[in-house]
Amino acid sequence: MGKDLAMTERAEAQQRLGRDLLGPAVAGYLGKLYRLTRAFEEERGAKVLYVTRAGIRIEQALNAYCTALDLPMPKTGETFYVSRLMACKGIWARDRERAEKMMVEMFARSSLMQFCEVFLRASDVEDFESLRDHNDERGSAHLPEFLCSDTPLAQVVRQHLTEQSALFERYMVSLAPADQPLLLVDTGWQGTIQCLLSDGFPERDIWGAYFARFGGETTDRRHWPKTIGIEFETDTVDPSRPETSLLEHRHLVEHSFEPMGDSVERLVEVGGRITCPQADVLAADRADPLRDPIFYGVMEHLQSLTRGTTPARIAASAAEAWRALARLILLPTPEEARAALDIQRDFDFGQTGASKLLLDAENMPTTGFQKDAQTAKGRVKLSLWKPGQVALDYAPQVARSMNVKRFGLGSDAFAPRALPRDIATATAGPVPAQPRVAVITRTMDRPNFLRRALESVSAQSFKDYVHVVVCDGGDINEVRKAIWDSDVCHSQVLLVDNVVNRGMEAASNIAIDNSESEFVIIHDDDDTWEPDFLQAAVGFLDRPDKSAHLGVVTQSTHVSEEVLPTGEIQVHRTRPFNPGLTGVHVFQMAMGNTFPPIAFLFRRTAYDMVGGFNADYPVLGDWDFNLRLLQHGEIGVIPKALSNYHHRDVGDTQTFGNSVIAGRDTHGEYAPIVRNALIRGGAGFGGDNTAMSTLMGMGLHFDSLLKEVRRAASKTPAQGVANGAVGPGDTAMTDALWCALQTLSDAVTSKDKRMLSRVSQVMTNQNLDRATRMALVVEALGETPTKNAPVPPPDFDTAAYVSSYPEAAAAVESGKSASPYEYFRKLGHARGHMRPSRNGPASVAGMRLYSPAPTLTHGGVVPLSTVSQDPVRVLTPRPDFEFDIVTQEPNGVMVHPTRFGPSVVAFDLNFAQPVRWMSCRLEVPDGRAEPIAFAARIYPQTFADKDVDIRMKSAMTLANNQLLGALGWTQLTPASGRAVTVEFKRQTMKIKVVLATRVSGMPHFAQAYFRGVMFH
Amino acid sequence: MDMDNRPDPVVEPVYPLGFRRHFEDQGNTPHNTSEMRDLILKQARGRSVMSFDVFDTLLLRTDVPEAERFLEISHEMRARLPEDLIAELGLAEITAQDILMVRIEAFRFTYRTGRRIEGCVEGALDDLLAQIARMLDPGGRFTDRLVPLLRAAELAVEAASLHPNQAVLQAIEAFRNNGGRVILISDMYMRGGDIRALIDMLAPGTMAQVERLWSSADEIVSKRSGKIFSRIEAELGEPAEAFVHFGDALPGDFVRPRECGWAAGHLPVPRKAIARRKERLQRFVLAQAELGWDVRSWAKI
Repeated sequence: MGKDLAMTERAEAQQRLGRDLLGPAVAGYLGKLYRLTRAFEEERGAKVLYVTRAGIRIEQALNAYCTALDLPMPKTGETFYVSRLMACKGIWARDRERAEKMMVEMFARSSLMQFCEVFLRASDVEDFESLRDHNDERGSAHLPEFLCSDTPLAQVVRQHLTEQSALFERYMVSLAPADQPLLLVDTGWQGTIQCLLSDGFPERDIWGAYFARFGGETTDRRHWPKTIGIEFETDTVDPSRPETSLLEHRHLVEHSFEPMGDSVERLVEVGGRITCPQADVLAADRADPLRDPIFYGVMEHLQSLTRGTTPARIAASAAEAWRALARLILLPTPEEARAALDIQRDFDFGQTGASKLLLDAENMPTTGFQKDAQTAKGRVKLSLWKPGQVALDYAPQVARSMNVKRFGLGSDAFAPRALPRDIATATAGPVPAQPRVAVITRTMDRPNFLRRALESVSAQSFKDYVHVVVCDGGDINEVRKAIWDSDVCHSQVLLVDNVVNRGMEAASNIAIDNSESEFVIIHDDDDTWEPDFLQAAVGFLDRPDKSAHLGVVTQSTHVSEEVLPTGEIQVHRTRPFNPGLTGVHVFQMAMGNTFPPIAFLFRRTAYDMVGGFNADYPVLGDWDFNLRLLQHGEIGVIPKALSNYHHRDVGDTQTFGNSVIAGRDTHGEYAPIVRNALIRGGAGFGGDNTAMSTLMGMGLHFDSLLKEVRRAASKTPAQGVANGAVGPGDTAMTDALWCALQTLSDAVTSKDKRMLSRVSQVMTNQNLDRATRMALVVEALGETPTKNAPVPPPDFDTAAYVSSYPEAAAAVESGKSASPYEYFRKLGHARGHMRPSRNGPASVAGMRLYSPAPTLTHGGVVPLSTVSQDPVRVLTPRPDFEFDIVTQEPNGVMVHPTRFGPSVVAFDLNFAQPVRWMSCRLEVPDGRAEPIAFAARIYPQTFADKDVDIRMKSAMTLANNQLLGALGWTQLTPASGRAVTVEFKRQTMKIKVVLATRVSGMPHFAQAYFRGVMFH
Repeated sequence: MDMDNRPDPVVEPVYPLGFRRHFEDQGNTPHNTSEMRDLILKQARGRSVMSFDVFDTLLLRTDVPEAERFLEISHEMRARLPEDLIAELGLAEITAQDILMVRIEAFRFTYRTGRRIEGCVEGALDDLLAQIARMLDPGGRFTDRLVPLLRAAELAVEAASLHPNQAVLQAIEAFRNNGGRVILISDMYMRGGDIRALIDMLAPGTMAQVERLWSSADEIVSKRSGKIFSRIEAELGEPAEAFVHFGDALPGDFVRPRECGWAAGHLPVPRKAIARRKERLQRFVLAQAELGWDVRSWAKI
């Protein structure tokens, strides 16, 4: 009784769904279908065929629609008894290869015998079992060879196919003559039957009209020009078009329009007429309120239409219904999902069985995919209605968040009568007097590049621009010719002839001054844009919440190219230039430009504010401009590569080289000039030149260090560090320095006098060398609590980190950490978390396997083999310091550097197996005799712990350094080959190792490496 | 070179026929008209066949965007339905919105399913009118009355939204007086006969100067596809070098003819005119959205 009540309630809910929501949507579809079929009939003389099985109900629904509105039904309409299986049989004689290919695809998961059983199930062959070969375990992929064989079963199947093909041939003729176009009417979605028939009957003109049309990666789209999706033709859900939500729940339509009766699997001839055995059952189909309540509700709605209901009103009701349906499909409540628990879909292509729309965790199936369906995640994966499954298996708020995020929905998604957001916010303001964008192209004697640049600008989807081409001292006639020969809108091109060469920055200023516009961008003659660059950039700056932004950049693509002797420009390869660019930070820009000019659209008011480009700089003028601009406001980022930064870095790099390639000497010459000028003019940063000096100095140091690391890293094949990955945060750069720079930048911009004073004291201490000062500043900054969560370096793979360590995500969600990167810095690293880097595979996976003498950077784990006596060389963040580990028994070690600087290196060693002894040998190149202090402690004891005895196994001078001695360190005076053995009083798996020179007056390590042997 | 003695930079618009944008932003004065005429004739020097686009070139449009014009046409069609047909066919509830909706559907149908020639497809006004008539009269009893009535409404609204380009008319006259041949080529869903009727209405006597008019609704191949130019050369028995074509559409009136060896002059619609149309289009889209219609997929200027 309870079960019956639940079923009745569910049926009533589904009936309401059909009547109130799906009904109006179907009415809209039927209106369009009606006009389409009439047009095909009247204008093309086509025959309308309602394809079984869904076509049966489509015809019923259309009949109800026409009756209610007093419209004549399409004259030629007739039921077409076919299915995919039947179509394969039907075309087999004409196109055997095509038919068999489709059969193999559809029966891919079945065996050959299962295929034959299905195939012959509805035939006159009664004794399949006697023909069946129980020893034949081949898959259905062997169908073509099977059908060529002479086994009794194969002969029977061939016979059946031959008969069915012949019948189908006659059936097609009986439906329509060969020269009459056919319009197949079906629910959808890929037009497979239409495709099969078009291939099998190429002489016929076959069209299809479907509820909607969409496909997947392997969909055969050859006939899609004739495959009409009435409601939509797209493969992905588009929130701005609610009807596309059907992509997530096509079964709503399929299930509703599925009549009683089996799929058509064969044709028969009855009384001279060709039909199918279940024709009577199909013809008798009627909607039943309990058995198919959704369709029943749909029919109720259609029957309620009246003669005066106009097409526009029907369409308006349909639009309203689709909004509500989209909300139901994409953001269902648990109750709405539960109402669909009993819906199931029959397997197609002749196979018996059905699969449920939703999986009920309390009543799991016991066969098939039992294992995958044990978890919520698994059930969502298997479900035919994924948003519904999410609603069933997750808490309501979590489920809603998941579905909103998955489809990119706004908070007011599908609200009734809501204006699309971009229409609602569209402004109809006054017409700007001038083009909105001035595109500035500087050129000199490079007509081939200029033509490409002209086309790049002309191809923009955003058209309200003036393209100012400034010829900076080159042949003006060549420029005019290049413009004239280009198929661009010449009336949008303004030519400025500088007559003589005035320099890049001066040329920009002249061009900008001779134009009027709201926005400006420098489009160098050798760079290009993607077609939507201006649209995206202008759109960004037009947003009300971006009104304070001075400009916007996009990510860029590095294009390596070469100019051939013929003048053709040949592109060799492309790679992301700055894929990690998600923000423009002062501290990063202090090191160098993080984006090229081609990517940067700025406001003219900002240009005026900073006084334009500095014409005195032959190079780096854009960097100078960007930094000066950043003193006054923010630059936004569109995290999409819409601009192309071209480099002639292949072949002849001088003749057509960029200034960054060909002008390297000039860059080197002018970099300090630009930096110094900015430092002198650093009043913008709170009037504190020292702070700006430190920032720029650290930027220089950081940049140098980065280049050194890249150079060293590029020698190591296993690293795979991508050349040209932008900015700090490359594999070998520590996070400490990265964060320290941010802290300093915050201090500078927030005018933190206390911090700046402390930094200033260190930086002005002439008793310390520059490198030491820098190290102390980094250390001091690292100890300072930050106000803002640190921006992760570009290489830090946040998604991978959160995936591996869900506690980081939980900490962020609970507010304990501001970001996963902050969690890693403060807690994760100490807990031995792997640092995931986009720069190489190892950190994310956690394990690398190495060839003999492998190398490993920090953050990785390596298994150590007893077979090989070759050391595992550990690269620390300092390129000049390396550490070797060799074990005599199987072990694994994870290395975490915790501190480094010019005079100190510290790292944690986490072993997979306990160790008791550690033997270390420090080798330094001849000629360098600075004392090295060594300390090793078991973790996590402090330096004061006396658990460590250091026994010297070879003659070593122990000299106490006052400072280091107080820390319990052992100072070694190294010479080549000396070793230190450390014995721990108890076994440990974590060891902290610190190596340091004396604090004062000593240069940092150079080419020193520490060789260690570990054993139990 | 002494920095102070360097010559000043020279600023120039590139393309002589870009004047139109400049002129029409300033207004259509007689002086501007004759200058434009002279520049067209200069461009045509040495050519024996001068060709013009029709809409927004020979006949200039007002600031009403196409989408709004479609709605105006729909209103006109509704207004012209005779009372007896309204009663007979039960059309009392039919509004301009219904007619507009069917018109857009008909456009889509035609372009989706139309006959293809050399990969090109074009809609035809006849097909649109037939679909609208069928919506009004599903039984087809009054098609013979409805279709001419609908066509007249279409042409009336079109005519009201166009005015002749005096500079082009003067250039045609001068070119003909010098023995040149003049043709018109239009990428439009109106057949040649309908276009001719409009020109006769708005610029009487012009068609007497025009040797031939091609419409993509008749030919199916179009300027935009580039496939019409060789056909015209064959019909007129002239090589590509003999032709110069003028029009407002960059791809169809400038790029494609040049690719086919013709000379071409781009006469773009003035920027301010485009901006005004866009402004009106935005208002139209908003107004339709208020009614529950999202017209962005088809509404254009």
